[in-house]
Amino acid sequence: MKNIDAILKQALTPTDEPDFWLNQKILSMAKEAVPMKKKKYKTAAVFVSAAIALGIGSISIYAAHKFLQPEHVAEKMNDHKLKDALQSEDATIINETQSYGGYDVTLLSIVSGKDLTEFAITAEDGVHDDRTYAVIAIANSDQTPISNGEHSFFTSLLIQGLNPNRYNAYTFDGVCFDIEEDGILYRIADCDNVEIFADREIYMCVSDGTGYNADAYAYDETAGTIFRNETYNGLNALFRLPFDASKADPKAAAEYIRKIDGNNANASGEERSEEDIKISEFLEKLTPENMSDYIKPIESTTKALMPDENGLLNYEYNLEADGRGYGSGSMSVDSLFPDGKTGVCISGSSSEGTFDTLLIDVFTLNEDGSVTYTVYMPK
Amino acid sequence: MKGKHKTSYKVIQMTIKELEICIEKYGKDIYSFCRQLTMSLQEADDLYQDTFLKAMELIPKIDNDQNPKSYLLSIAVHIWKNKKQKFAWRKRIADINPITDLFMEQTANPLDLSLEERVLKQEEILLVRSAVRRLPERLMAPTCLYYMENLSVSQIAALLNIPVGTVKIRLYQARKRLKKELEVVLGEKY
Repeated sequence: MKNIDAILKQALTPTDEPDFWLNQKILSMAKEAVPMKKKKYKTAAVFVSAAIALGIGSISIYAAHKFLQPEHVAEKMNDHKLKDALQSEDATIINETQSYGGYDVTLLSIVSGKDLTEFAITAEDGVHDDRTYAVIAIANSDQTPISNGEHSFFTSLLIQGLNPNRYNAYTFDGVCFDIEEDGILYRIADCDNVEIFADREIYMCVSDGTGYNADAYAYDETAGTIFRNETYNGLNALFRLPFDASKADPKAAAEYIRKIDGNNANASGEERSEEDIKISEFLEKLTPENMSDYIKPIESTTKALMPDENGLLNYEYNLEADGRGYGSGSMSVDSLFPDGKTGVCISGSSSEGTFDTLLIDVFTLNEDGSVTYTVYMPK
Repeated sequence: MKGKHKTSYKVIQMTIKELEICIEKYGKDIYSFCRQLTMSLQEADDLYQDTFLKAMELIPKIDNDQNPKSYLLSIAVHIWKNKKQKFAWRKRIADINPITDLFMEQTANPLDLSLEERVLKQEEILLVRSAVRRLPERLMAPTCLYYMENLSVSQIAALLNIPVGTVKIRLYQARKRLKKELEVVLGEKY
């Protein structure tokens, strides 16, 4: 094989060009953003009392580690506006530690309000500047230094009555930033201001992984409350944050949930086309038992896959000869077969968004842990 | 954009004209980097857009002595790290990335090659880029910054806020993994 450096250099030479209109959009948004920065906003809201932690045995009010002050964490992230907010009387100092899964997680402080940061999040629907910020410190329980980027942590505010599987940092437009200082990982996690839900229980979860971990927590459908799963071996800290109930705004909360539900129903924000509906209906009726009535395998695509070190199945197909191009993907075995039992998982995709280009991926989990992958097409 | 940037935030902001120049000068490099990080057109567009909008907020003015490209890349890396949970979530919803998009990418000198050669070249680029994308995050970012953006080891160390030695080790590990993987798929040609 020739020099790997030369191959990488050649293959990775920048070739992608941003679309002209994308650049125009950026310039247009930048122009609009300038006056927006001069607006005056309402002052930050107040939390009325300290957090009450959930769980048993592994909670302490006095931290074993020496932490940066919350405002210094913001300062180190160069967010001087947030630093001021965290120093103000609007912020609630919590300083509570929970230890699970080999980590000591300390919720240092929380503050909510409008225009508290120099780095407001811009989304499709405009600037999100009314936010709730939490400053969290994560340390190894054995006092060894923790390295930024070596571990994945999911942090999210959760709300009573909203199933955390569906409503969490992703849907609350959550964002987080990490820095490492003296062997401790500091995270500032923020999301849309949740004070409108202040008449309910509001929680902060910190777990391992990159998404909401349904194994780590339990949700009581009846009471709407959220609990730590005591049998979970990993990190599953859960803090309960009493908010000032007078800040609740049930009407705004209902509207916010409707908006989330609308986004979830149609992630693209666009009207569903007839082709979309046709594809969805076709896929919905497919089962392992009846699929042979509707779809046929493309034999050349069949592969035996083994999960890689991250538990991912990496697959690809080449159907250029059939005019269907190439495809590749990566799927977690756990997401395909959450119960770990042998079986069949069916999913579909259409490169052009049309029924004619619909391909169906069929994954079959075998007893030896391998997964047989085959691409099918409609009959 | 948050991060360990050393620039102090004074009242002077980059002007729209300066932003335009910045996009013109560094847009292609930054966009390619965003594509490689995200492997998705939509996410690359989002990341690219956010990078320049944050730059507008953060950079008082374009100072060529301060290596604006490196600064923009650092903003992109920080935003990407920040948003990767969301990206991962989107990826689970649309898990297949049709390679058709990647096939639209240009080769370095497309006019010098026959159609067949171009297809083969594109195939090779695709294989290599896919292999790089499958690297663990800690290896992928330095690899892209080194081979795609031509940053030095010390620049990468400063940008990622890690020691120079760590960058060297990560580049070594990435090369080792990629060589092993690419030998299988490209071995016949080389």
